[in-house]
Amino acid sequence: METTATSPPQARATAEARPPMLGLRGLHHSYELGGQSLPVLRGVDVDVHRGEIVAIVGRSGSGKSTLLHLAGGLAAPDEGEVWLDGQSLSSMSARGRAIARRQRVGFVFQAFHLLPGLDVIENVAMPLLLNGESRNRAKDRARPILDAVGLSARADHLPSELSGGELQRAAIARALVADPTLVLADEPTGNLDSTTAAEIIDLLVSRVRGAGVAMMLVTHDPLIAAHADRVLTMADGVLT
Amino acid sequence: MHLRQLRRQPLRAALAVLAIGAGVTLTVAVLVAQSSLDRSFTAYNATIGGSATLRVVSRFDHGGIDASTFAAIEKVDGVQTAVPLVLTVTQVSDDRGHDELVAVIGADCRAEALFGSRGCDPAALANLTDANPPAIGSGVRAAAGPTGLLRTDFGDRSLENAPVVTDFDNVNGGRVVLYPLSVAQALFARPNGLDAIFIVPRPGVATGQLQATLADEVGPQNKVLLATEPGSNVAFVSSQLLPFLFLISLFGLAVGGQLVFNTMTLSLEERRREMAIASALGGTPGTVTLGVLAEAAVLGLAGGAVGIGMGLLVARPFVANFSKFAEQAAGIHLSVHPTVASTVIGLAIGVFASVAAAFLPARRAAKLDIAGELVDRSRRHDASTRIRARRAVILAVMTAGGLLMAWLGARDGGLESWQPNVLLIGVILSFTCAFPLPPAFAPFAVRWIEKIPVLQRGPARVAVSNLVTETRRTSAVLTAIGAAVGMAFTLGGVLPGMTVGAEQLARATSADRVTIATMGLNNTSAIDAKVSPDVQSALAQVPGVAAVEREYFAAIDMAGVGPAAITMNDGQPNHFKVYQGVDVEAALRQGQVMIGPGLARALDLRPGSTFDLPGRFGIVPLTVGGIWADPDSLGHGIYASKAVFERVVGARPVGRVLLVPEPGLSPSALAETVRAARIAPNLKVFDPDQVAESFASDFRVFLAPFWLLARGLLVVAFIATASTLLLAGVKRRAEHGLLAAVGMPPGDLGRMVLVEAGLFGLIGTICGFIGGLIGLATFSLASTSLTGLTIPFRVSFGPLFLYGFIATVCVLAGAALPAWRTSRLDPVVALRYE
Repeated sequence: METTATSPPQARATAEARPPMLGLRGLHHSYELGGQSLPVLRGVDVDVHRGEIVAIVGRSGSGKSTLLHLAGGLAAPDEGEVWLDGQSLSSMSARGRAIARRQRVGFVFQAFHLLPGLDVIENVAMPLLLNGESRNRAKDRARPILDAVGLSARADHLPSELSGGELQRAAIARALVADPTLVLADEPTGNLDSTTAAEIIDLLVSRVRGAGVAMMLVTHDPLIAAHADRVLTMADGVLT
Repeated sequence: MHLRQLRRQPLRAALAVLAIGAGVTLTVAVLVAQSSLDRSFTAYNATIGGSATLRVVSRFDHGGIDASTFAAIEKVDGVQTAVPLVLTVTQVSDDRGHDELVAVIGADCRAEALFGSRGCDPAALANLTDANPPAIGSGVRAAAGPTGLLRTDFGDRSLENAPVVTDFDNVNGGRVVLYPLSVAQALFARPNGLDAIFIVPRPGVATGQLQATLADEVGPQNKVLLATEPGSNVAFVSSQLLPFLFLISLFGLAVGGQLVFNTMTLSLEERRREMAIASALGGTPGTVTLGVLAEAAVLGLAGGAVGIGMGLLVARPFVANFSKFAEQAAGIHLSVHPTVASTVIGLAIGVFASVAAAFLPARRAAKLDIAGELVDRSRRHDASTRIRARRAVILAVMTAGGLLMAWLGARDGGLESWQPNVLLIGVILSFTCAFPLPPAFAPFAVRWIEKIPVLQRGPARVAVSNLVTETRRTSAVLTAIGAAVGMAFTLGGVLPGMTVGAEQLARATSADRVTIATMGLNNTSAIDAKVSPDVQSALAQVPGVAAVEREYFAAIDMAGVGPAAITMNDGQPNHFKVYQGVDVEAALRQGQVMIGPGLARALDLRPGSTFDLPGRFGIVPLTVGGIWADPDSLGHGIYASKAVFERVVGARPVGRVLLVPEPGLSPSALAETVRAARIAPNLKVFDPDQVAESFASDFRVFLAPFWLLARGLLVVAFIATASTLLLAGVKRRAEHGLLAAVGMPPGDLGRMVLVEAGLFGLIGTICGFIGGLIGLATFSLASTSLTGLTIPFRVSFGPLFLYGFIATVCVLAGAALPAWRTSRLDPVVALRYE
């Protein structure tokens, strides 16, 4: 595990009695578009604590997903730092960030993103397989979480044989299987009908709260955001 | 929309162009080789034919036109002048013993009718004897040096004082020797025999009409051709390699087409959404199909252009190879003659192969589930397991059917008229299915590989699942790799089989005897540098020689059959396995002949059948005593007694001499004694083992193009892997993004691609092994009927391991770029890709 760094956020967090699981400090990020720099984030600061669910809302293109990607170390900010459980992702190599994600972060995407060639239980067990666990052991560990999301009966099915709701349940199970400290959910109900969406968000929130992990949830749906402890709005590249 | 894809995906387009180009390269090279052959012979005939419009040639080699025929031709109305010629090939030797083949022309003053008056004096010419040196071209002087020798059927002649005639420099590059007609007939064993009669017609006589009149006059044993028309020599040279090379080029095109098919399929997979939108906006299935086919046509056109360029380069070694045969047959050197037709055909073939390969993907694209695709209900996945399994089973049945047909077609020498067709279909079916068959089953077999512990973790697990899931892609790449390895494995087995076949042939033709020749033992019958009578007498005096036997041979261009031959020995006859009828001794005793299976099949002959052979002096009826496994002239051989042979073709120079050792003396010991005697500088002495090795060595030459193909297929495997993994990398971008998101480091992403490639190499080698076994079995079944030679089933694992290793290295090299690109993936961008 790679460590850091300057100015860890623990000191500032002592006032809140527990250190933030995710700390974003002065994040700036922009995209190159047609030879011009298009700023998306203009100095974002936010902490997410253990067991806390923070929803980020905002209009399309406001930078919500970009913020989530930076938080998960999928991309590096132009400026600022990302702290995950007291360690700076910004100073890690790509490999270090990948290992940190594998061990501490669970992702839930709007498009589910299951691997089509693996059956459901192997998809769920993928973070464990990447961690070097044997296939059988990884499957054994995945079974309870699969049961918890109600997909035991679909364990041996391929993703192409599942409904949208089932796909997202599998994705939630995958996000939680390696006992992460942080879950990052990007529009997790964006591809689902309202009934299924309500079931999925209830499932996600209950599993996250049950596991006591932190979650940053990006959505444009106020009903979904209402499940969060805090709701922050992204506008003009800053959080309010 | 489709043509724009070519600009958007230049790498993909380049790979498809390269794949088609590789196939077209071989085709163009074969076409150029054929045109070079035709044109070189035509140019030679035109040069020596001068103003003649017609040419009479014999169906026999070696002065097969009898003098009586010439006399008859001269009397034909419409013939102004008939010019008799001896045309043959022999060797010149320099003072270091280095031999080269040259053309020999024997002519008299009547040749002035072809070239105009040169002051030829018939009386002076009649006074010249074989003691006088011939006139030679500067090419001969360059080959012979100042004190070189000319070989003849009656010993060597000095060229030291031979005058060099620069007029000959435009004939076969100056590699020509000119003797007076009578001297040439004497030195090259053609008593009253001619090789060609050029006809200068009377003014106003129609060529076609004169040709028909002459054809009636010269009899079925001779042919009347246009003066420059290539004769049976060209057919002989063509038959040596062109059919093999043409098959190879077809195979190359098929592999290129497979790659285009693969590329198109993956490319269209990727564009499903785009095509669905276009269809929703009013694009018809026809528009989609035409768009895809237009894209393929452009790729084929570019591939054809690349192939033409490469083909012209590759044609040079091909033509050089042909030139060796042409020199042996007629002393004619070949030069490269590309034609407009070969380039046009190359382009057309490129377009056709590409469009044909794209047809199925285009039809699939036209049948797209538009609504499903637009709402993402239609998942991207391959055909169902059941469909894939059904295809694999169909392939297995076709392969088994092919083997069965090959067995039926070759059974008992394949003498029935239906057998060649059944055999051919069986061989094509078997070879076509042998290499795709194992890859068709491979995705199912990979499920077993999944259970290997080391392949159950992280990157390896995903790599294996990719192989299982994308069966079409897996099968395509494995076919490319398996074909390369399998071809090498088949050839590796054919080689030892050929050695065994050569040993059997040596036993049948020269058992327990020493073989004496002046040249190699195969394809040298046309060269007039035979063992002279003086040398034969000297050989009889060598201690340990109990008897001297002689073998005589004549090549025949048989109507309705093609190249055939008649052979006889004045001592112990050859012994091949008899399929039907009596043995050779009984047949010869009764004045009958033994024939090869090809001739029996072609003329539907059986023991007791009689057939008319147009002999040098007229029709000779022959009765079949037996049909045996004689491989000569691809099974078109006739074996006769001395009396029958001479009735057919007259006197001949000896082909090879066989020495029978005295009792108690081994052939190899006698061979040593003969070598030590140093009777003539160009004498070649073979004991039976060396005869077998000489035959095997000649046969190996025929395999050279196939080894070239095996190496070419390695390149194809490299391109197939690189292109497929690059395209798969594009298709799987979102999956790779997800793997990065759930914690697979960039290096592991790259390693995953390499593991997949390594598995391709390993499984492809196994597929090659299985396909190669089927190929070997097919070849072994068909060899007797196809090549005349019986090649037993032999397995050699060396080439399998070597080519398996090289193929795996090629595949890993091909995967390097896709792996590198995957490891450089930006997960955020990749996750957006859908």
